[in-house]
Amino acid sequence: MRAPEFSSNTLNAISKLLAKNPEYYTIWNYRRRVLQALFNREGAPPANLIASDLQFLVPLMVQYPKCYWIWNYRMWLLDQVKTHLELDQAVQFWKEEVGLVGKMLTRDERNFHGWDYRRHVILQLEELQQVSMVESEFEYTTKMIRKALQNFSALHYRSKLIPRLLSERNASNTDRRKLFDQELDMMQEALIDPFNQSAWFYHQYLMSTLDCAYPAADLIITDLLDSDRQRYLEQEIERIKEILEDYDDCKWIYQSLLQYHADFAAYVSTPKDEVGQWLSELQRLDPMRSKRWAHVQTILKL
Amino acid sequence: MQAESLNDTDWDIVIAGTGLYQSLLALALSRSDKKVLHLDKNSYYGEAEAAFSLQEAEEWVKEQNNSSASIENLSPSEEDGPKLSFPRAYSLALAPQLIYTSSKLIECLVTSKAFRQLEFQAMGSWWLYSASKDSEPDSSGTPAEASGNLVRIPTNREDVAFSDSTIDLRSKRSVMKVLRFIMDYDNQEELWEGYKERPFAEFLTNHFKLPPTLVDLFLALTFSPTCSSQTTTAFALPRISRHLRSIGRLGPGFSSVIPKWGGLAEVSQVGCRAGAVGGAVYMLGSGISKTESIDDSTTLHLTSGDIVRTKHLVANPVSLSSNSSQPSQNSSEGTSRSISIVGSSLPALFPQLTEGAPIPAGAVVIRPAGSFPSETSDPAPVQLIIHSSETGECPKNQCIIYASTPASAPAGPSLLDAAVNALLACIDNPPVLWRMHYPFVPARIPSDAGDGVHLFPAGMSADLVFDDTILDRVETIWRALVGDTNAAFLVFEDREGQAEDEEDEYL
Repeated sequence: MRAPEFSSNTLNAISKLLAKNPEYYTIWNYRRRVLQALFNREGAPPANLIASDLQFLVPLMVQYPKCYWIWNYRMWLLDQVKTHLELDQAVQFWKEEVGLVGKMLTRDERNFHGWDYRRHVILQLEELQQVSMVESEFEYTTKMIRKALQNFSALHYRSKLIPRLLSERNASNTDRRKLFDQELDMMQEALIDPFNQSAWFYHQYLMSTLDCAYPAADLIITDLLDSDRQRYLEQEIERIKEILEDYDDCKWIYQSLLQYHADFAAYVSTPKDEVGQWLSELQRLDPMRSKRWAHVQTILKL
Repeated sequence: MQAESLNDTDWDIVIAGTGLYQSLLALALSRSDKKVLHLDKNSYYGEAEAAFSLQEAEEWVKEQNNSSASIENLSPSEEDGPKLSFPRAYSLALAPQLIYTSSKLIECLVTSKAFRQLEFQAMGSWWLYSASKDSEPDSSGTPAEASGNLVRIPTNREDVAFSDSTIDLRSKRSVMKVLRFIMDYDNQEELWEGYKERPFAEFLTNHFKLPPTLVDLFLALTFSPTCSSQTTTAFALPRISRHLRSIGRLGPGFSSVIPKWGGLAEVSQVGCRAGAVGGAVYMLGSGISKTESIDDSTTLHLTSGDIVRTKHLVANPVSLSSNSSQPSQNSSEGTSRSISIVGSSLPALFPQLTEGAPIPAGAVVIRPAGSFPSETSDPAPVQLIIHSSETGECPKNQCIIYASTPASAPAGPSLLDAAVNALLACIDNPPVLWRMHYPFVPARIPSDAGDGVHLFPAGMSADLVFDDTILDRVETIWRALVGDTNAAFLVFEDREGQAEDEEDEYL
């Protein structure tokens, strides 16, 4: 490749090279230049070029699912879709992309590239079509959570969608409370296996929205009174304590109880000796962090 | 097709019968340099594991010469409604066993490359039939068949958490605890040692304080042909553990698979095909009328009139003799079986398993012992395996119910019918178009087979799960035949041209 030769032969040569080593990012840049030259040439419709390049990427993505350069190149390709194609065709490409991401996430739900990419694709599609996809995305997280309760990425994505979902639905105060209750119930179901850390994290997120200092734009329930806060905390602490009846060897239960006690001391009080008991259980079950629990003990003045 | 006659030929190995055991042996021998003649006295492959069209099923039942084997054609004469299709639209499996994804069979089929000719399909949901307690006796005083309902058996955390049935949160936690324990049971022997030979139901009740309805769920997962009181903890734990461990191995949501087109008959076909490619000579419709041991070899008089000699003969008690004589049977073992063609695809039985899971081709329904109002002593469970038309065994909009109950159960055939009818009554009562009853009784293997004669069991056991010890038996005989104790069993390279450039299933 002495003189810059931007032809389909070059493309083939580049493809062979990239299939062997996709981390060689300079080659990806070269490919971009070749493709741009081909776009500007008469004859080859950009749609076909882009489609075949997207196809070329698929086995590479399967083989190297965590290579940043492939993802970047793919995003660049789809960006070209917006520049060179009619709206209808462009929307089609991006819709297919949603399907592709869905399949990749089914294959490996923990791949954060996948989830990040999904957010990017959805954003693009929403811009192109001028339509919000928050309902279907919320539904998607429900599907993924039902498939695997430890799917932290799905739960995290869900937590980001909820404020927007409620706002777009013009949800009433009643609706908002209903959703909050449903989410809490879902986590109680998830916590039939209290060793599921993701469920605890999501539960903590839900509880954190009860905090006075929580950003107003992201609230789930917007008309919280102190009596509501107290009621919810008492309810959840009670439900968590029930789990102790079946499990005496799960540190997450005690850790959560302790955290809610510390964070929400203004709304719910637990007798000091009970809190002390949680701490000693934590010392027993999590001796690796004994210094931390000792520190907590000091802070809580136990 | 052979040009020359078989008469007066010499062989290293003659295999009599193309049942699963013998066919797996043929596969194992397909790369050896042994001269193999593989016979079957039937005109079809598979013996007790064969798959039949309706016509073939009728002929087979006639041949059985057994009063417990029968066929009823119940197809209605009215113009509307489901009707029986033409005979070759069906491929009824005599061996609908499910194969756990952790089974050695899958591994062996992969390493021997035979998997390329098989299409495995996912088994789907498992259901527990629960009869409602109140049943009014009819006018003659006989208790009527109470109505019942199906409960989907949860097998993992998500199943339990999101189960539709009205199990309360507390019970869900208990079920979850038991599932967790079973996944790790071999590391917690102290907990169940005392209950080893005691009924598993007792262990669940005493140790986990499970209520009876939940105990039934776990008993069902053992898929045991014996009733609850005879299912010991030592028997149950590894079986449920295998079920749980098998989930997700070949894809999300399912724990076992079945071969498309007629159950294990397909595996027999593939084994024999491999044997033929490896140079073995195949003859259907030819059995053995007489065997004589002369010097170091066995002389066989075939029903075709040919006389052949072989160093080794591999057979089972049924294929060893010609049609007329029945080998002695173990009537205490064995099962009563039925095959019913249903005029509906029963979609309620095949819900999607989970996100990204394949379409299930089969379902399991367990009817625990003691759930019939008319049962008196010695209750037996009824096990039902349902195959959808995805298996290719029947036309669309129909499905096949394979039912089995221990032969020791009194009035086995009517128990099977009652179970099938009760199941259908739960799901809109579609008609049964055709039904076949037959007993399966394992033949005793004579201990004095003679030198150079190797015997397999005739047909598989009452267990409706593929038993990995089948492969052990095949391996034992294979090693005796090839005499090489170092070679790996059923591990082959692809033949030239066999491995197509497989388009990797990208996603």
